[in-house]
Amino acid sequence: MTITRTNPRALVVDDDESIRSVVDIALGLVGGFDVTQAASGEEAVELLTDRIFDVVVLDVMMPGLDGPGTLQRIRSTYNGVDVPVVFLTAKAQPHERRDLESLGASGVIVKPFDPLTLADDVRSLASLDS
Amino acid sequence: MAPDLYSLTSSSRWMILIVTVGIATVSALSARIWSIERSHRRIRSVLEKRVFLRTKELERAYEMTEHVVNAVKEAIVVVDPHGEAVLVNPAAQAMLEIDRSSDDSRQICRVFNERFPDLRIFMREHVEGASGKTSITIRTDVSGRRRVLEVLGTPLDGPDEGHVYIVRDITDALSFLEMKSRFVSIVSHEIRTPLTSLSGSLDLLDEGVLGALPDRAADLVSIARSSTDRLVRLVNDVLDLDRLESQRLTLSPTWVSIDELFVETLRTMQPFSTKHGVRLLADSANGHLNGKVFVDQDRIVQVLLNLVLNAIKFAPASSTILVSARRRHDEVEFRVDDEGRGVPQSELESIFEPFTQIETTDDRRDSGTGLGLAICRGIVERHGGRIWAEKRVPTGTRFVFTIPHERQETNP
Repeated sequence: MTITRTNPRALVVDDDESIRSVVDIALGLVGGFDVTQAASGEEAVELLTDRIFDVVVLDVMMPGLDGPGTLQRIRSTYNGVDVPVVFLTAKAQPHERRDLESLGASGVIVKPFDPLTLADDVRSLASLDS
Repeated sequence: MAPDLYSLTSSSRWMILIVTVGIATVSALSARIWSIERSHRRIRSVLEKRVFLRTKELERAYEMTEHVVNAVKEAIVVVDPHGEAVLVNPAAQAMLEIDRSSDDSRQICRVFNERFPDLRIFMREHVEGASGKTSITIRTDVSGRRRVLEVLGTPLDGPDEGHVYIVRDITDALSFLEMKSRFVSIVSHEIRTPLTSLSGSLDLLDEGVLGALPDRAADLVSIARSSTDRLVRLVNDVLDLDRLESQRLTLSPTWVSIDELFVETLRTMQPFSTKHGVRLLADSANGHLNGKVFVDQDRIVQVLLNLVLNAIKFAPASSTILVSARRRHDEVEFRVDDEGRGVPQSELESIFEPFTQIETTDDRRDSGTGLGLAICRGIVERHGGRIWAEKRVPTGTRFVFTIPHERQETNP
């Protein structure tokens, strides 16, 4: 028998359902991730208390707990202490990008993103083996 | 009996002679004095008349000046060589809400000097030459309302050297600009979210990730995809232009090698130029340059990409586009030369205005937003440079932009 390789597990957090769907297909169908969706920062934090993910793809502007707030809370959960977090944002200014990176994110991907390369981009930013 | 002169002694004769000569002299002198006096009187009356007329003229000129200064809607403040206000015209009094019931100009100046210390400091420093600025924007309190004032100063020539200042209240203009900018920013971000899922979905469908589509469906998806791409570029360009216009575009300059700028530009544009059968070359003329400029790399590459993209759009097949740089005086001059049919003389300047496009006969026009060159100009000017287009002989267009060199060495 060959060794079965498990797919990397991604948690996709975005309040916009249509974006979650596109990211899901881009990471899952195109990129071979196992994708779990969360519609809010609160839901993401809850999921991370008892499940392990290899990467969190996190929207920045969300009602309630926003991206930076969610990142802070993720770091205080048991499974989220050092999980790589990649921001997905419509704010593309270099200083906005630097601000997000300085919060302890592994990288920033700007909307609109290319769904065909998204999985590769997430992999390389989060330093996951492909 | 008539006196016999000969019978007089010789001394008496002398006496009479002297007296006679004396009388003659005196009468001649007095006649002269009288005539001098008369001409003096005449001259004096002429002079008096002239002085009177000249004074009247000066008075009229002064009244005219005063009238103009009082009548204009521009707020004017004149200061003496020590930076003290000596004139605050009614428009300035109204703008700064200085009590206008007083006619005493010295009282008005005193109120001005006391109530607007920051304005006064600027004017004093300006008059003394401490600040190189000729204009300043000041946020100040006018009767409890926050106002933004723009002050422009000009030195006065002449014996009473001082400065004259025009004060403009730009509060409303600024808040309008801020409002517009906020609007553009919100709309762009709001558009970007649905655009992300739209373009993402179309990309996935078009690439057959979910299986092959029927031919006609694939055509439609492909059309929708390229239109969406154009919409994305438009939103990005509108945001860029707005940031440039509202001065909110932050540059992150570093020392960048010109070669690196060219390599990045060529690498990105090569597929597009190959597709159109156009040769793309770069010459950084390193022998004449120290090879580096202090710029925001991403933004200058954006300018170069835009210029090269434009050139490719208008370039005939198998023509050459040359990207080059050279040092000229205190600047580094970047050039993009093409062999296209050229921009009409009348449009060489207007092409840098937003939403202008040069008419093309083929479908390549569709890929532009009409904002590219306006953004290029904005970016170059934020770097302290200039940008323009020239006609090339016999055919083609040369786009040139400059980056000041000396200025940068003071703040690397």
